[in-house]
Amino acid sequence: MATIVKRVVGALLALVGLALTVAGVWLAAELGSSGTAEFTVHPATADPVLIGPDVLNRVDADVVVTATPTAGGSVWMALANPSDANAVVGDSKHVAVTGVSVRDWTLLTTTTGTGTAPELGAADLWRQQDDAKGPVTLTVEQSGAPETLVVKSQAGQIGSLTLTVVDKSWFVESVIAALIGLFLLVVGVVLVTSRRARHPVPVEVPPVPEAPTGTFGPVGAVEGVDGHEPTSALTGDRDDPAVAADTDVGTAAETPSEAPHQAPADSHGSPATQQPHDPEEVTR
Amino acid sequence: MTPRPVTTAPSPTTPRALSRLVASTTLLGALVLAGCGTTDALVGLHPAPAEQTAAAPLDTEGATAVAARLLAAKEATVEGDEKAAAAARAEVLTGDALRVANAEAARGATTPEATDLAAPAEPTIVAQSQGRQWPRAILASTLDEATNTQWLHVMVSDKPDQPFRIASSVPMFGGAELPALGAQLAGAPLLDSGEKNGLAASPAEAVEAYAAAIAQPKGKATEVVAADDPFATGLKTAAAAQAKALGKLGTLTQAHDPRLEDAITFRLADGGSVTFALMVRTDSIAVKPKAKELVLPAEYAKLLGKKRVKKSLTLNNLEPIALVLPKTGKGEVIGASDLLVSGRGR
Repeated sequence: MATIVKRVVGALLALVGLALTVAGVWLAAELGSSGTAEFTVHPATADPVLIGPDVLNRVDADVVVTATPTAGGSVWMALANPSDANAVVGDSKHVAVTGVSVRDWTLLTTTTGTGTAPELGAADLWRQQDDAKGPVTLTVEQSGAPETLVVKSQAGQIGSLTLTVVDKSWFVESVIAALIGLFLLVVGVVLVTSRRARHPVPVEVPPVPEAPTGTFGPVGAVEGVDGHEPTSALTGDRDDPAVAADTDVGTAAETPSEAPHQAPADSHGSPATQQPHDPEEVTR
Repeated sequence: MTPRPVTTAPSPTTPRALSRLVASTTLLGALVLAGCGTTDALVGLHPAPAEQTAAAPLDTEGATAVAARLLAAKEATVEGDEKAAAAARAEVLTGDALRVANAEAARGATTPEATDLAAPAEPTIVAQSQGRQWPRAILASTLDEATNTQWLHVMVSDKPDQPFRIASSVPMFGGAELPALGAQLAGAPLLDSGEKNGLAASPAEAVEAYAAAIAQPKGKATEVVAADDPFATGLKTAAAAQAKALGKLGTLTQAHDPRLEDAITFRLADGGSVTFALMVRTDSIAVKPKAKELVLPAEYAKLLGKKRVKKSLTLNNLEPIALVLPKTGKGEVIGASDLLVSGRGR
């Protein structure tokens, strides 16, 4: 059960890590080391285009908007209080920029209203305005937030509208996200691929020191194999089966009941059993 | 003789290990879920600040630019015929100021031409109307260095797509003071001149009371507004002198008719109000039977197109005024001017 959970967690980590890595690398590549995000839309309209504070004023950095008219056209661009911009455009037909799409770096737009917009440039509610035959660029500083930017073609149509934001921290965060994703991916893969051993893993223990050859010690030493008495130091031949059985701690621990049976059986095959002795003396 | 390896069994899965896995999974899930909500914060995105609608619609720089543009356009020489000149005036002026300017143009009065060396008067923004609704107003002041006179200009935008235009220009009396209108960026609320707005009398009532009080030969006393300002005193003195000059040849009466349709009232910081309104003064001289005829001064003769009248003379003047109505106590006129615009003689 635990292994399954571990593998599921590992798989999730790996998936999240992979997604984070891919997204981080992609974002870092798109933003560049300067952290420049550029969103573009091609409205191809002569109606006013409004970019509200929900797009312009959600970051701390300046937002640079560039409007480019179609060939031979001119464009006018201005900043105003959001309520003023909405009031002057009113219910006339206009394009509203509602957000941005990072996936394809575009501005999301929707068209609302009916009728022709009034002459916008005559109104005295613009904080900043500019017009030109060709591209017009206007920088929105966050100190004036909230603001709405209005773009209108004076001749021709609005060919493209580009919104640029520069934030170096975005590049750094993208790289960090990629690194975190990579870490999660590695951890997840390790968790998924690690296996739990079905059999006990052999563990090497230090060899038992060679005992001096000679005769067995007191019979009392043999009594330890019954599991009820502490085993004394081995003094007999290490090749003796009885001794080997005594040193097999794991086996003794798993099957303590076998020890009493083995000890008497082995003792019959050992040289010591060939010596006449008093059975009562052995069990004493 | 090599010792046999001793084997040990791995520790079986314990509740502790299982709890670690569950905790890790929970933590991961929490991070993923929390990450969805904190993504915006991580990349520095935050909600756009809310618009403060109870404030002046323009910043000081913007309002100053509007005022400077209008004052320069007002003084600019318009090339073309009278129709083009009227159209140009209508682009810059509105309300009482347009009425005065049109009357001035019809009378043929000329304003002194600005020289290239004369720097245009730099406007100072005194206040803006409060809020995002229309109409909107800007109150600016300029100093005429030639006469050391402080002028108050009210500029109004009636609709979102319409620019500001000068609605009233009134010279302040020497030593007169306009009480504070509050923080400039906070704006001063525009009031309905016909409503009392928490005051003892409405601004319209105060203007009407003032008009009645300064009538000649005998005005109607009022407790709403004082009638001893330089303008009222000057009118009274001039009327007395004229009456004396006429002697038994004629009688002089002066009546002031308030025109409040284009009046503009700002709320003062102390709760009072300042109103910019227009009065039309009618000077009527009735020639007595004893007099054979009255010989008119050159100014009147030019206006009327005749040098003598036998029965009566009527002269019309436009009088833009600025009237301060405090929270308590009498109101006072802090600035006024008059312009002779038309007349009729028989």
